[in-house]
Amino acid sequence: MAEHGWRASANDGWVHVEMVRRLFPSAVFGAISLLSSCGLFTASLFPSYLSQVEASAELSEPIDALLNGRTNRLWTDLFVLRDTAGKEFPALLLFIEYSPDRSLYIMDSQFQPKILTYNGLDSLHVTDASGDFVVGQIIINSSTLSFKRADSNILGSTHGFSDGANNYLLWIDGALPDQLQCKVFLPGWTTSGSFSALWGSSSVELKKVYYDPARTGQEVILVLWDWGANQAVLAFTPAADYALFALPTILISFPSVRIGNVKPEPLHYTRKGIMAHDYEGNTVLYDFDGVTVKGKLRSDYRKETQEGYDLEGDYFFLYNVEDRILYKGKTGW
Amino acid sequence: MSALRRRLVPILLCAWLLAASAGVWAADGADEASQTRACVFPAVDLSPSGEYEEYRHILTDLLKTELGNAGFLVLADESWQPAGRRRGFKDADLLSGENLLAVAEEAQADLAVSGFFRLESRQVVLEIKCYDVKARAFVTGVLKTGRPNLSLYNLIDTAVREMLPEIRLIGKAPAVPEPPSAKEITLLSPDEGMEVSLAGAKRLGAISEGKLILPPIPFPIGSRITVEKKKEGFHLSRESLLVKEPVQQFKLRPLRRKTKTATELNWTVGQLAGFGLAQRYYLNPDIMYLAGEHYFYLQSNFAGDHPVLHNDIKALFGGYLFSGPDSALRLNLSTGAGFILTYFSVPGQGAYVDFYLNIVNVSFELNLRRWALFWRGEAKYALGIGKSLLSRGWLNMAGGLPPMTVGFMWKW
Repeated sequence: MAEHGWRASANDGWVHVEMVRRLFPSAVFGAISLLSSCGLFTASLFPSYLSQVEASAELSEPIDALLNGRTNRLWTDLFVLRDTAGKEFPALLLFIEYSPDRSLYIMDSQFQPKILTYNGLDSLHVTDASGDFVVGQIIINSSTLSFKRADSNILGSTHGFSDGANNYLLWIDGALPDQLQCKVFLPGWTTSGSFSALWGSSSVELKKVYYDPARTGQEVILVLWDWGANQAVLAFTPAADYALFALPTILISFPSVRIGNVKPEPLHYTRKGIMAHDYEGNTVLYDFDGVTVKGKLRSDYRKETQEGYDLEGDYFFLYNVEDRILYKGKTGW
Repeated sequence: MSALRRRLVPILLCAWLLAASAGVWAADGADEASQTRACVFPAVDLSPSGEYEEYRHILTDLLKTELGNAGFLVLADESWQPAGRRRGFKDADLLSGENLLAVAEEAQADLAVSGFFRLESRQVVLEIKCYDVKARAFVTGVLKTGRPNLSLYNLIDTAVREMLPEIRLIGKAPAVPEPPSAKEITLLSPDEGMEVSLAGAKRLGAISEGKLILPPIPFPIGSRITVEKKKEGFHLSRESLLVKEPVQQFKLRPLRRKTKTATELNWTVGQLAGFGLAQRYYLNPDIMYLAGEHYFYLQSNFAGDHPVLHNDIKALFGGYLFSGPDSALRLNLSTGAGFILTYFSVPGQGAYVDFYLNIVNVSFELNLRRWALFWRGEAKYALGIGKSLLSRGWLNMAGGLPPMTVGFMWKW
């Protein structure tokens, strides 16, 4: 930004002076950024997310330490933990094929990993009714990001949520027809009860469960994949019904959104919309009508990646599997 | 008495005719060296009675006179008589072509003429034959009839005229009309001091004050001449000129300066938030070069993000195929290697280096005198080594297209 003004000169009277400050580089960047909204400028050789990165963490060292020379394949799962105050922590779960060794990297506010290595770590990740993070069967203090205890009562490979009063674990039982099974736990993870619910479709798969207290009456979002229709389905269910230990047939009784022409993975719910990958190499943000496209980014990265989003949809987290680098960036949506 | 009168009149008439012809047997003012030499043998009387001897001389002399008037050099009888006597030929023997040619050849004649007449019942039959001595061939002949009076003159005159078109060719090549040729050719050129030669062999001169007047070489009108143009620091050039008029000016095409170095300014699709600068050094002017390039660009998705800075630095070896420095369109191939240095505008992110092989670049150039416009397709292969952002494989833009670059180049 340039500042114009008149300045009195001791010798020459009034003199027009243009003062260019340190803001010049920002001005250049701003101009180029504006130009860059044109597709011709953005069709780069490099991953498109690079310019959105705000922080990154190289995890090669702790991962090498976990592997300890082993050449077993390393599986990873990236998700976001959200505490009761709404503060969010990206977390990367690592487990070694054919080995019980598991490790969890929770990124703190400085985007540095807090590492927990416990065999009870698994795909379940919730904030429980006590306000602790639960990953698998491991309960973690959400303030200190440190190990609290392990609880074998927890079904570590299921999906789940907490409404602040109880903890709910959800899974599909594999029976014919498939039903949603729900086990209810009190705070502290003592069993309270269980129930099941019909889907209303014979070919759905439960991918993720989100709890968004801001969606009054639709707090529990079930992310499904309908193999028969080849569509993503999001069903918005009320948390209160789970507390009553009863759910009517889900896809008939509750509002849902279907999205076609997207891949089964990944699918994410955010308050801005639903993130999915299309078949043209884009990450697309769909509105809750399942049709309107609110935003698009190139996602055909040459290297294998995993992604996660904060609940608001303001930030993405991307793990580069090959380079073992975790990025945090702004979605810009 | 009456018989004497009968013979006297024609004798007197012919004598008068001979006198009127002034006895000149060669064309006035003719150059003897260029004239066709004619050997006229005596006419032979084949009349039954043989009493018209005087007609033999009359006819022979008339023939000599007519041939002389027609421009032939009639040889004196003394030039061939010895040859005839040696061979024992009589006049009648010389009616034979073979005999006649032998004698005429010895006399160094070009044309040999023989004839006979026959007088009978107030009618003259006259035959004259002509031979090309060098070719030893019969050329032409006539057979005439007439009255033995003054009309004999017309008879001989007519006979010679009939034979002239053919006998005039004896001893001379047929006349070929001379084609028109250039009188003055001027070459105009802005290349002062440029040497001009004819098809690389004969030096014609040098351009001075913008022109060169060629030496007086009679180039035929309608012909093409190829001039070779040479000047220190410029490429040798040839130009073909069509001579259309006797006096003509040609504006020669300017020479192309030899390019030793060139500077490129270019843009790559997908990297347009930046530009590239390259410098070429020609190992062989306008043909083969080494180049170094630095392409700097920002990568940004939207206003408010943090642009990433890329520096693409490479070295190339390249050359031109199938086209010379004069060609308007040129094909250029190059190969090399480079690396892309990437760093973030957000602090604390470190830098990345992606090494690649620039397997081949194919470039099409619009080649102007001092500068060129080009389009270039690039095949780059990332090695995926070290701290890199790109995995191993071909570098393609979104949609699978290879990088494409356009730019212009200034030649020094």
